[in-house]
Amino acid sequence: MNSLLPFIVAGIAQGSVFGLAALGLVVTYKTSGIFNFGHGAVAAVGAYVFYDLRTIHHWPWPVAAAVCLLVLGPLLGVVQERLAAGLAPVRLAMKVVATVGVVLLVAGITSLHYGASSLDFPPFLPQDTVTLLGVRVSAAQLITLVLSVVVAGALFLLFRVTKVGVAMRGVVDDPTLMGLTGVSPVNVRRSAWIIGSTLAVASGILLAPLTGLDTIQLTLLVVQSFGAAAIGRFTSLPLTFAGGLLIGVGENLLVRFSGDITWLALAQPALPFVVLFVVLLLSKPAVIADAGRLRRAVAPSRTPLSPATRRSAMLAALVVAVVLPSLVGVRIQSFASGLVSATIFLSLGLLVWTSGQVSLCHAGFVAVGATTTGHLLGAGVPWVLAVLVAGLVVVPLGLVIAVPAMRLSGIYLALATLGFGVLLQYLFYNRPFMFGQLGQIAVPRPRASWLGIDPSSDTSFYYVTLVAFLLASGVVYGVLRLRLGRLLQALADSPLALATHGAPVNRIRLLVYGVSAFLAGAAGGLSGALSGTASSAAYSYFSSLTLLAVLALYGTKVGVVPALAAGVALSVVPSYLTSIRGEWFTIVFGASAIVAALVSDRSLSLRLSVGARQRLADRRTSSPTRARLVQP
Amino acid sequence: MTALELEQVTVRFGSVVAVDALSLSAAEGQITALIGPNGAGKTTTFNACSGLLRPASGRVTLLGEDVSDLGPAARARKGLGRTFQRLELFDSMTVDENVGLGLESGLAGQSWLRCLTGNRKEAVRVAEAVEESLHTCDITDLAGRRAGELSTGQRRLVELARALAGGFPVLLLDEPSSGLDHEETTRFGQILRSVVTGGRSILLVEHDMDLVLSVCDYLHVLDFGVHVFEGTPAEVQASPVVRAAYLGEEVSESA
Repeated sequence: MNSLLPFIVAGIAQGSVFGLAALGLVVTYKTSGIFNFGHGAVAAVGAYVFYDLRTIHHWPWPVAAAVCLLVLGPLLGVVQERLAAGLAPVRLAMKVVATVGVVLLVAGITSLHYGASSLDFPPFLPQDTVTLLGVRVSAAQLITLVLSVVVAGALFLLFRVTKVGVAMRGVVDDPTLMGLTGVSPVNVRRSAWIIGSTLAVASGILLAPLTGLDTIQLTLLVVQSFGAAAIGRFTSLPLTFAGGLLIGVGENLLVRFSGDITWLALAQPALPFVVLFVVLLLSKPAVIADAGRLRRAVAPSRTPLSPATRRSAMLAALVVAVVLPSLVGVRIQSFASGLVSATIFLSLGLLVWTSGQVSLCHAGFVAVGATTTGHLLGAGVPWVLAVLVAGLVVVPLGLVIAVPAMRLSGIYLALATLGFGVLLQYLFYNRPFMFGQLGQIAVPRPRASWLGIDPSSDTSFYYVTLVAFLLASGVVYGVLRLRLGRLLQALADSPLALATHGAPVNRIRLLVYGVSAFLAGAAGGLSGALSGTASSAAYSYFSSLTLLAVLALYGTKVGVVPALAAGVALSVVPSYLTSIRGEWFTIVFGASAIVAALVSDRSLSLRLSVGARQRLADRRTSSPTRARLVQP
Repeated sequence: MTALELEQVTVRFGSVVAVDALSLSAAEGQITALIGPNGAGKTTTFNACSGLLRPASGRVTLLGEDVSDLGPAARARKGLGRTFQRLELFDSMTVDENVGLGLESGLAGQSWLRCLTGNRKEAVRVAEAVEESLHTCDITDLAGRRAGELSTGQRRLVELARALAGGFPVLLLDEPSSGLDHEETTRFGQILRSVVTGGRSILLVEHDMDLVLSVCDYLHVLDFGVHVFEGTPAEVQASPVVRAAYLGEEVSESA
């Protein structure tokens, strides 16, 4: 037991910071309805600014901390409140897109300014140790713990005593109370975002000495707060804080017990998501998940092109695609890459835009597809078969996370997939059945020598990717023309009506999820074969975020054109602009994803007018007739 | 046999009892109305019937079968259809697609394969059901229009047609006439009569008393979640209990 105590103490100190971050997350989620995937990015901004003031500009750390907590935190809170207000009317997928955009934006800017590698973040709290009850505790740990408990306590007090606080607590318990409390909803929301953002900044500064300064790491670390928030069921503030403590202790105990079992040590960052999964599994399912979501606005018209124009446009595009190798020469490789990306975007678009389900682990699916293809090819399986089987392997894997999440609301699926992506990357990427210790696996290109083509050339592989993309388009359009397509469209308009007429809503969601996972897995085989070697670094969970952000740039329809456009933006354009640093693309993708989310669903006014008309009509007919019940 | 029966159904929202030990039944082949002032618990009762809410206690029996433990889709497949006070149409789709989905939803519930695609026989069935229900509701001319661009009155009829196409023997209609003008309401009543003449049963929540008194066979009156009266239209009109429930409401309104 005594040997465990130091780990428990360290865990409590670290966990109290997770708890703080989680409190901020829950307060903003409940008051604005926006689940902020950018919460960790805000923490990173705080840590970088603190670093800049203290280490680069040599300010005393208490001054730097005060500036961060009293100026930066509230400022970022106000900015985020404005963003959240702009996102209020858009669909759930777009809310996720926008906050993911924030992550990309922050990661790009910090990496551009401070470099991509992790910076040393010297501890600023005193490191002397004291012995308490036989355990050596560092002053930093003690101060962190005391600080967190004081702040959490102050927060609880605020919620009990002040008017805005009481209103906020009411709204956290039941968001429908917003506006009924006598305190302006805008004030409640703004206060919540200021609190949430300041807590994020504080947790970033407190965590950075433990992790080093690195946006991705910090984003991931504050992601621990997701697990904590899950323990509090995204509602209970005390349970959320306790959840943070629990996760902190759990992670430190994992370190203690891992010893020579390496995968246990690797499991550490995945722990919060294991917690999240358990919570999902134990949660009582909603009768119909997301029944109350805003309905999709009525699009003004369908395709303005006549069928003849469409046919000739498609033919022209096909001709260009076929002669492209002779037009672009050696750059054809990046076009092949663009087509593979376009196939992935088809898969992701099918899932997100038709069924409203957000996947934040598509890069993980692609990675599994790539490594499975590599292993199958190594075992002598024919190329096409290997790619198809790789697609099939991903399906059950995808369903494992989708099934528990789907019973609850859509945001849980986004969370669960993010967690799954992180889990996959940290626990399984470097294992022999995936990329192996070196993080690389050979995925040879097909040997199509029987066609009389040079099998190894970039050009012939470009044609392979073209055919694959066309086949994938065929699958997507096929699915949408079937009954499933109609059910999906209906699901987007009114899940409630669909279910009360006997349709199996979750089965519809699972089917489209399965098709999407299959396409992502098969695309994985192609992506591995692009360069002949698949390396784990290309499929990080961060790539999943980028995929979603780029997907959102080209509207909310699934189709060949938006998928190709997204593929070009992600894979072709950067290859032509080699003088521009990669971070700029991350920044542009992030910023445009935020803008795309804000301007989406523009025909909202139409929907409101329909609702308003109906409400007026309801009022007109309901009151006077009641008097007529008892007729003379 | 009764079409739909509630026994001692209680629904709570936190500490508020929205529906208190409610028992009522809707007879087969009749139009039964559920009336009461705003907030009496009518829509809550409907939600408990269709499985959108799980009551704290009580039993729901549909066509002689206990469906208390089933979800909304399963109850629909057992024969219970419904419409919504706040219209729930597939706004981005055409009227005939909307109505067709009334039947296709249930067909999709049969198996994984049927969820993915239908066979030729089903396609014929759906086409026939669409034609018949559009005809019954007299909206055949709207078939190709988008549901989202129609007037409230037309949308009410589309929602009814969709429920009819589903072939549900028991229908719950939640304030189907709200948003309709006088003429539309009269026509709506005629359509409802023709539906029950065809052998179906309807449970109706409605504020328009002209409509209720002219088309219903039997009425249940709710007030504050409690069943206060039941009887024929004539009995309800004469009842002092009902008068009290409604007059109290009226006084506060005129104040």
